[in-house]
Amino acid sequence: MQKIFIGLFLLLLIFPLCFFNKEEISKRENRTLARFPSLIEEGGFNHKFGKEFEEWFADHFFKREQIIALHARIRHKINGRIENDKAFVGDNGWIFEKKGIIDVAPLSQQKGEIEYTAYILKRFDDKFKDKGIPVYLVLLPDRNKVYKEYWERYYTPKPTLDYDDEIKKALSDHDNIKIVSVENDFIRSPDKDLYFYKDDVHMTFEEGRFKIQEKVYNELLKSELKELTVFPERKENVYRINRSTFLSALLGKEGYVDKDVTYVDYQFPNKERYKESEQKSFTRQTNDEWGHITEVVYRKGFVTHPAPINKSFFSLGPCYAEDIFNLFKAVFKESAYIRINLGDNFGQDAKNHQINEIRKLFTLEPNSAVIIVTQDYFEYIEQALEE
Amino acid sequence: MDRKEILKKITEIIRDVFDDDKIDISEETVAADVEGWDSLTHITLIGTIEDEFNIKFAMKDVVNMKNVGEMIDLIIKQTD
Amino acid sequence: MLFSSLTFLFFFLPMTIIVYYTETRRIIRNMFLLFASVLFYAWGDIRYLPILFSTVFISYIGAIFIERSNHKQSTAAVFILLDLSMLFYFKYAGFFLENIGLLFHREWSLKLVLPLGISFYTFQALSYLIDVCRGGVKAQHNFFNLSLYICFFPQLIAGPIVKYHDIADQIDDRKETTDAFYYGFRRFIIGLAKKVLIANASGEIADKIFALPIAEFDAPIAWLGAMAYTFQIYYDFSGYSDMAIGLGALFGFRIPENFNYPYISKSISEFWRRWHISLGTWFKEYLFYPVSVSLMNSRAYRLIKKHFGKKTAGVFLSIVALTIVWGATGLWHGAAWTFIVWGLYNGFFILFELLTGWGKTKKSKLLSAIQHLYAVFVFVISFVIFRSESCNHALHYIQNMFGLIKEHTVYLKLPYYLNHYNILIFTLAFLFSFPIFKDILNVKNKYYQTIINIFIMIAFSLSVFELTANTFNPFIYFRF
Repeated sequence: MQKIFIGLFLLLLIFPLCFFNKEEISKRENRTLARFPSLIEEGGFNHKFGKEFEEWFADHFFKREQIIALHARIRHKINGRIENDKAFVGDNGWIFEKKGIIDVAPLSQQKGEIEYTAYILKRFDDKFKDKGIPVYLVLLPDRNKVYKEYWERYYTPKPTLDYDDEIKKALSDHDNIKIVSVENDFIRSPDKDLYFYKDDVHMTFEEGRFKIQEKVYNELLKSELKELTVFPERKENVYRINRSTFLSALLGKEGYVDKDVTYVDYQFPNKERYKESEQKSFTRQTNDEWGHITEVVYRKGFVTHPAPINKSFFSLGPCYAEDIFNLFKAVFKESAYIRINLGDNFGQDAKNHQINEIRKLFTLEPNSAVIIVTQDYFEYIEQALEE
Repeated sequence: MDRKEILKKITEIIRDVFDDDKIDISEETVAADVEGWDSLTHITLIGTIEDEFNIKFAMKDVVNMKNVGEMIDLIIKQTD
Repeated sequence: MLFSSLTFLFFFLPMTIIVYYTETRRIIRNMFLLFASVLFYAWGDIRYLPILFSTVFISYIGAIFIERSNHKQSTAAVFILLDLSMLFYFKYAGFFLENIGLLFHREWSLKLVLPLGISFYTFQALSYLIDVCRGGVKAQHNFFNLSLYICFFPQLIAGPIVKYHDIADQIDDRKETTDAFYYGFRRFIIGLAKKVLIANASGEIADKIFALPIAEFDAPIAWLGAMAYTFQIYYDFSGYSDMAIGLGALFGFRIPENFNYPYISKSISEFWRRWHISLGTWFKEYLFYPVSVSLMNSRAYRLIKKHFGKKTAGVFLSIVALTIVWGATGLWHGAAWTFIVWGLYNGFFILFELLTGWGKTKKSKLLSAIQHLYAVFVFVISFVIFRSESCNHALHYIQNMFGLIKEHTVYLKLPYYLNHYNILIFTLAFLFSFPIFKDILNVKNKYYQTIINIFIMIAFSLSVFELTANTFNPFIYFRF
């Protein structure tokens, strides 16, 4: 009997050696697989041979992708969610990024920068005001101010200007630019359990929540989210979250079917559905301008970026101008929304893409609106304005 | 000295070091048999025995001593 | 190379087994094992190989000289110092320099790469030299055999530290039986599962929590982190030892046990008879006894005995000997103050137990339970010290555990760190820290054996899945 098990074990050990995977790239993981290292390299003996061999061996292991999928499924069964160290898929099939709590530095609030921002925005606004297209600039709460209100010991009095006030001052002569400041609502909010990390709305569940966004999110949850379907995949746009890639890699399927919803790419509202909603009124009686806008926006399922698993907050994701534009045109005939946020890490291509997206806005029809939710990257707007 | 006498002396020493008159020692006794016989008390014991019999144990013997019987062997070797 | 890698499991190991058993002559088998061990070690980084071989070489020559010498102890001292100086240079010189620099308000530093396993194999080499010096063993005249002793791949990188006299005979005279092989591969798989499944999952939690700034977690999370690390280090280390022992058995070697359910201990003294046994016994045999004996012959000791009596002299002896041994034990683990403090912390409790008699088994069940809780408390905190980045971090972490940190910034609460999977792992980790399956591999009943083997094969599969899943590295563009 012992011999049977010994034989079985030895067979198991030798098995993968015989069936080696000769692939060179992994479509699912969107990368090339490690190549077999050479013993001799320029400069002499390759002392990394051992490590590289191990990488190569692991990458070409027999049935590797199927094993990964199986492993993910087992975890999924146990945990009720699919995840790896970078992200996880939540209850509604959305991908949530895992990030640590990052202490993001507060906005620079130097006078020169505020003037520059105002200058750019005015020139930007020039493209719209003649068509009667309002431009909304959403200002988000300053963390330091929140601290001052709730955790005074963390408040660091900074010898800088109040961004809100200064920007309002600087743009006061441009009444086409409507400033939406949520700071007071935020600070006045009775919910003491507010956490605030980043200065923009690009949030994940680890990073805190906005009471206001929560309100809107709950609105969405009521009916819209679960029935969303998607637009067909846009191949030319490489900068989207490719949820299907992630899920496929994990689960071993192209696309992922869950509760009668097929996610192939971004979640965008159902084309059919927003015909209905054309009839719905989107004007709400609320003192909260921001709330008003977001309700309008989110009611139509505009959230495309990771939302938290505990459903207490969410974030606005990037929405590309053209899609937004089409959407709004079909639904509201009113607004377009753009978000600019790629930094230098992503190369000139990414920047150019963003600049082009901004330029597309210049062709907006009247009866639209532009909402800017960013307090940075104004140089993209500036570059878009250069022709 | 014969083995019986050495054993008797060792027993006295052990009883003294461990402060317990009821301990019974035979040639087969090992450290685990006596409560509290760990490395530190072992060393103290070795020291006391060395003094009493006017001998010196080699380090390897200190380390490898398995039971009281072996201890007696080593003592005899040195006192002859 | 690590045991818990796909290359080792599915390439190195089967190849080694096949070639070994194809050859029948003992001498060739040993040379092949040596070759395999060298390959195994060089796989990680070939640049460490010369250092390893210097140690072997020094030990080889040293033992022969010692045996022939009329001044064994001084000769031994020379070669011991030579071996130790290499260990000192690569592992401790930087630390030493930095601290001396601090004394003189200078910033001295020396950044050297630490050769893998140097603490382990150096101690094996020292054990050999000292054993020859004491006369307990004969010097090994076959260079390859000595090399095999020091470089044998199952225990080269992370122990158990096998003393020369425990394995000397087995090099030339051992039996590779089916029983041993059967036992070996099952033991190996158990070790693999312990490391890959339990240790890694616990480690994820521990790593997260120990990386947090102190103000970003509270007491329950601090305890979670400490417990997670306590499980991680046990399953990692004992798992590795299991693998080493299992691998040795595959080739007919009996490697001594290194762990014996340390978490059921009722005292720290008992803990150290169950934890990293090979190191504890090494220090006892090669440091504690010589130090104690010299102390006993020292003037100071005699004076104290004369004036203050035997008991006080005994206490003096204990304090000095324990400080030296536990300081060294701590330092052996790493070149940092946290390790030294950790070592002395353990020494302190052992001294405490020695002087008060606390921790010795008593009849009362309640008392035993209290003693057990005491031991758990002490060693969990010791592991916090061990794991922390600095003594400062350790201090604050421990304060956090007892709710002494009042100022917290925003932080994530306990449920964030847990999911069903790690709760399951924790439960298993807790269960298996008790000796409920102690003799599971020795079960004779064929029916039970088959059931156990099925579980073992499942554990193996899950471990392989886990290792494979770790190679998942998608390029997903998330930020935009």
